[in-house]
Amino acid sequence: MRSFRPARLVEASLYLVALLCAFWSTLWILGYTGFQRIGYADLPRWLDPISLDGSNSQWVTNPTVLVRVDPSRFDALLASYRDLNGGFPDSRGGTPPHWAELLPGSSVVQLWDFTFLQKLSFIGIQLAGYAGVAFIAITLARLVADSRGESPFVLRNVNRLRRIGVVVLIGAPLLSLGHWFVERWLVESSSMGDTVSVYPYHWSSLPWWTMLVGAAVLVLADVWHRGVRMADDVEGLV
Amino acid sequence: MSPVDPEEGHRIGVRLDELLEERGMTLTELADRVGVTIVNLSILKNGRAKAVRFSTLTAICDALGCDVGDVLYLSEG
Repeated sequence: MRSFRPARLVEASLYLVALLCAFWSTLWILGYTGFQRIGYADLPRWLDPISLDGSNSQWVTNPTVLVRVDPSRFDALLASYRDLNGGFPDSRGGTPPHWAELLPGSSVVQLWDFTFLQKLSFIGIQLAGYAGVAFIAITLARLVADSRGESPFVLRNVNRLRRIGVVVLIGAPLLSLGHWFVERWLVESSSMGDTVSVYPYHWSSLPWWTMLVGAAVLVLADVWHRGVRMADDVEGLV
Repeated sequence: MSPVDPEEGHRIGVRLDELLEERGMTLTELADRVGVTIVNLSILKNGRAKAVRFSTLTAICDALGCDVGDVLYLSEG
C-alpha cells in the first residue's frame, strides 16, 4: 500500500485552486457580464453555492457600485425614474444608452449597458485577480513538488517566494485601484453619470492586510535565502 | 593521497588512503570506530568534503593513532 504523503495532497490542492481560477475566469468571459455566451440557467445546479456567493454575484447579474448622490441633482434623479415607469430597465418605454439604476433603499447603482471596451476592462480586472491567485497557487505547487525528497533550500525556491511576494505586494493595490478606476469610468459614462459619483479612493481602501502578507512573503524569501547559504555550508561537511 | 581540486577554493588534501593501508584497516572499520557514515567518510577520503568537524577529526586521529597533520596536508599552489 502506498504511504499517505501530505505534500502530494497540498500540491494537488494548489493545482485545484489554479484550475478553479481558470474555470471562474472562463465563466466571467462567457457569462452574463461578459460576452453572454452562457447564462446562469445553463450551469449545473451543484454550482449554485459558488455562483451565488456574494463576491461573485456580479457574474450572474450586472455590476453594482456604491455611489453618493449629488443632493443638487436629486430632483433630476426622481424625474428620470418617473420617465421610465418607475425606473425598470425593461419598461415599455425602453432605456437610454448606458443605462444605470439606483437600487431601491440603497446607495448602490446597477450598471446595464457597457461598450465593448468597458466590458473588456471590467472583465479584465476580474481576470487579473484570478490570474494572480492562479500564479501563486502554481508557483507554490512547484515549490512543494520540487521539495519532495530533496532539500527545499535552493535558490530556485527563493526566487519563487520573491515572485509571489512581489505579485501580492504590488498586485493587490494595483488591482484595488484598477477596480476603482473602472467602476468610476462605468458610473461616469452611465445614464446616471451626472447625478451620482463614485466615492473617492481613500488610502484606507488599499488592501493593507493583503499587502502585509506580500511583505511577509518577501521577508520569508530573504530568510529562505539565508537558509540556502547555510545549506550550502553544511553540504560537504563531514 | 586524495587529489586537491582547485575549483573548490582551497588546497587542503586528505591522506586517509595511505593511513588506512599502513594500518591494514578498511574504510568500513574506520567509519564504525569514528561514528560517521561510510558515505561521509568516503567523501572525505576522496577530497570532496568542504569542511570537517573538529569532533570527526579528533575521532579519526584517535582511531588511526595519528596526528591531525598526518591526516591533512596543504598542497603546493
